[in-house]
Amino acid sequence: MAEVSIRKMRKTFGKVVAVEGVDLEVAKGELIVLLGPSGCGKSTTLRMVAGLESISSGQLLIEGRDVTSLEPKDRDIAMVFQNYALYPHKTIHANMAFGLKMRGMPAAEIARRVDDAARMLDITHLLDRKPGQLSGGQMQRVALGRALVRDPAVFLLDEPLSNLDAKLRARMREEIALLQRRIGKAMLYVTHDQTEAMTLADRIVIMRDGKVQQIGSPLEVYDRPANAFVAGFIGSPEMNLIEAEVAGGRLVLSDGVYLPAPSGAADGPVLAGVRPEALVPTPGGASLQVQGIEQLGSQTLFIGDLGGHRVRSMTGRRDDIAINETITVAAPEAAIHLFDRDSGERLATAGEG
Amino acid sequence: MTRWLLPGFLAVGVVATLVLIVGPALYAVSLSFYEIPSLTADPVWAGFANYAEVLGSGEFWSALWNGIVYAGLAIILQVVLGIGFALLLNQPFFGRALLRGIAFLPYLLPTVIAVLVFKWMVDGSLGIVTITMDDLGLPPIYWFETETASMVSVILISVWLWTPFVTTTFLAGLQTVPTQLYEAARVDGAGPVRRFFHVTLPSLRPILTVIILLRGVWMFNKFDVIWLTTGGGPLGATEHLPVLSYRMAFKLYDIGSGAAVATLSFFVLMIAVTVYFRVFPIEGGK
Repeated sequence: MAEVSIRKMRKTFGKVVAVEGVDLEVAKGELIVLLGPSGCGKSTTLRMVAGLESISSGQLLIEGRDVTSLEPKDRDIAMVFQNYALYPHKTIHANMAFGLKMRGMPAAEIARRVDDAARMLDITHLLDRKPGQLSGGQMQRVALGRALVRDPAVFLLDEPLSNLDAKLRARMREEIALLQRRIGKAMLYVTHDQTEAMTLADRIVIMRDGKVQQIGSPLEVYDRPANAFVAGFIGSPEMNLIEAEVAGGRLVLSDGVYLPAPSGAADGPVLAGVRPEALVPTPGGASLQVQGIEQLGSQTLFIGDLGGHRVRSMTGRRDDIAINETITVAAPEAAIHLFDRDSGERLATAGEG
Repeated sequence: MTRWLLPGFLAVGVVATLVLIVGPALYAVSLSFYEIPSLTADPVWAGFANYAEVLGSGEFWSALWNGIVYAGLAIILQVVLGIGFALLLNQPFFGRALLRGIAFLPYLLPTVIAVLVFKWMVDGSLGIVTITMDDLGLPPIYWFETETASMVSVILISVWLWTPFVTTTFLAGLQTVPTQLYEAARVDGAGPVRRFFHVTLPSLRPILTVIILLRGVWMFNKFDVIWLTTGGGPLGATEHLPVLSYRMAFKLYDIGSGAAVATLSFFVLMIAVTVYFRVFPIEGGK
């Protein structure tokens, strides 16, 4: 049985549709990341699951129980907020204990749970302090702790790491992943950061303009993006999207500049996608005039002109090429994605269903 | 140029304070040590005689008590009602902006006008309140006839006039409480009442501390409401220290004693404020 079942859940504000019919089943122990640009409806979706936003239509089940119109406290969820939302006048201990106290749990049990969670998150030494005396990373741990002590069926996290600096974010990301595996609960995690989504998620739900674009494991959405939007959003650096033409089994970028076309692709205009890491310098490939070079240490990113299209090509470290030189690049046939130019939808080719 | 800017601005303030506040205050204090039987008489040094006389009289103590009752009850009502209105006006509903504006109006009224309007409304034969109550078959209320009624009346007028101050200040404060705190509390299972006591009140504690302090000082020193309605009567039932001081100085022409009352009132207030700050420190919050 699914831990969380979201069925045709919609949210409208007046005439504006914020979330358009989301369908999602979350299994126990599964970490689902809701990913998308700001305003895509991912946070609204999470807030509807939390009960902080009413559900305009559709149904929400948690552990098989219809909670569509229940108050947040009756849904067996716990939430971690973007700005931590710790009670500033309460100690860390009181912050973590508050939700349990409100539920009338015996003091001894509260103390035990808070201690356990504090130990798990390594914040035992902070329990007597107030949130104002904590660093951002510590506050984030406390916010996690407050959710953890509740031992809910589902954890909801709303951009929990976006207020932390890059280094701390990477570390907390790892910790959340470890923690989640350890407690084995369902988790819904909202972010706009595709790296966070790729590294954390069991499955990613990519949203745009209130609509779900694709649901799949990180590698599924990376390898087979359902449309051009997903293709551009997932992966870093961004996928090259080129307006090209399929003709005679080749992908024509411009006169005399070709990449292979996936077998079975129909002739005609397409939007072709190829990831920078798949478009690598190869002898005898298509000519790319280098306009910019980004050295990342172990890797080198070339930015240049490929048959009149601005593209990026990434390869292992190369420091023998200068700006304005011309290199040749190629991509394997399997790494070429084709999308409909108008709808952006993925075009079926022979290798795929 | 900028070197003189700061001292320049400071100087204006310092001079104004000295001339308009510190000077007259010291002069008033000095008067309390003299025997001055009329406005034109030459002051005669009297030492602490005025203080002995004032502190020995029942009038001072009953005026102090009246002042505490008046200020205390007025503040409690102002704060409780003010917070209540602020919470109501913070809810989303149609016409909220208009109602917020209207709620502030009484505060803009000069006290004299408010008092006259109130007196008119409760006038024994013409007042709208009197007539309405009569129409409803209710017995008349003698607003300023008995001692208790007079005290209640002056308190009501004060509450009417200055609750908007609390409402507006508290309402402004409410806008600064992060919504996420309320959401976190909702997820934690706190209902509206617990959210108020666990989120709103602690968050607005610094504001509330200042509101109570300001209203307290202002109510304790409030002269015009009482003077314009009851003049301290009946039988001194609403006479508090400012009115007593005024009556002694300008009705009985005992300027020295009037000044002594004012000085004592100042000390009482100072002690009260000091204690208040001890109990409710504004900064840090423990």
